[in-house]
Amino acid sequence: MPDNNEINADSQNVSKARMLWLLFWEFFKIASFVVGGGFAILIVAEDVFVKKYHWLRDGELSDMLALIQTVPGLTAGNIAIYTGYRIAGTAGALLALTGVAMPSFIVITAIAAGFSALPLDHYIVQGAFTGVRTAMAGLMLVALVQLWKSSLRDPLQYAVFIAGIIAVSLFHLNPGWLIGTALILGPVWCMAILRRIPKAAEEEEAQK
Amino acid sequence: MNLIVIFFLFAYFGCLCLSGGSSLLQFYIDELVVARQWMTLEGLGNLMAISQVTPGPIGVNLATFLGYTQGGFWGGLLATVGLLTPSYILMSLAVKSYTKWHDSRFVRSLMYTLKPMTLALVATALFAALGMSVFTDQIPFDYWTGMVEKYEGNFGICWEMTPLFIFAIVALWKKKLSIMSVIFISAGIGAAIAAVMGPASA
Repeated sequence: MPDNNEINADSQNVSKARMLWLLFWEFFKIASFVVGGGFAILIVAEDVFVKKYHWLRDGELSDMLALIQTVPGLTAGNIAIYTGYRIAGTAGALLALTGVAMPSFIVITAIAAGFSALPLDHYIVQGAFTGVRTAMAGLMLVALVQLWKSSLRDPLQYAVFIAGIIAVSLFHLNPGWLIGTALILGPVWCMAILRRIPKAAEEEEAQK
Repeated sequence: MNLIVIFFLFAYFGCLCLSGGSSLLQFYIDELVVARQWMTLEGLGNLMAISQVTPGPIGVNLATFLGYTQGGFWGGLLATVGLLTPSYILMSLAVKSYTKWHDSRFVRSLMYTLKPMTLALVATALFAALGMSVFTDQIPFDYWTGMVEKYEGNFGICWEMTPLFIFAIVALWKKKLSIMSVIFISAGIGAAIAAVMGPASA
């Protein structure tokens, strides 16, 4: 596209204010048109900020996937924060994050405002919802299987996984306590008992 | 008062949602449905369904929606801001000290147990989703294992939904269809099944 070249040409000396605006606007557009999860956003953001603006290294966002997934938060939000921070510091991160959240906020507020007027009790609408919930159950099963390989790699990790399921399903424990327990158990096991850190899955995959 | 609760509750969710928010649903079930009873499990499922098909990342959509149902416009705003604030702070710190963060033995030892625990929360959220789609009620693990003596639920298999469930898994696993298409097709099939079976089935 011809306009890409124009932006490339002056991207070397864009003012900070314009850079911040572009971070906001590009993420606003990305979030508006990408429906669903965070990984689609990663691909589109890489396309925009690498190919169009040359503000990130080629493949930088994919390389940072481990970091984006490690830090607590939504994938989409963390991608925006990372990109914004790398390009324009804390202000850039804030503007990119605002851009990524804004479309959801506008659309959902509009829907939620008219939510009570929708014929939600109608049996056909209920049927459609049951259909979507079924698809979501399938989606979650597929996500579970895909996460399985990188999350469960040795017996202790299997034990933690099973203990976590039992704690929630049978004892109805608060998931916050479980995350807290895992936060203590990991360093105690790896650094005090095992005295080595099992190799992270991402590193092995990155080497391939 | 309620708005402050919403903000800090979602900030708490924001601190704990690892692996890009995939374990978030279990937190919503536990805190919003079970502990605070702000909504039913089905209600949460319906909000999630709408969040899935509207523009924007699903995590942000759902947070805005949940906040709005509890505190209107400001509730939606504070829930969204609350959810994203912890990651804004933590992610900025992490990028700043990336090399230290990445090689840190401490962070790697944290991830060693956090990943399987997060996966366990994904699994329990999956059980909840199954309980409101292919099963007629939540899976009574506690009754089956004798943790509770009496069972008052209505657990059974919802046969008309099982082919749709299998279709969704195959389509998503083989990457034949996008998530969006699978969801819209499922909504259509669900509506068609309801129309054929009549109002009594609901």
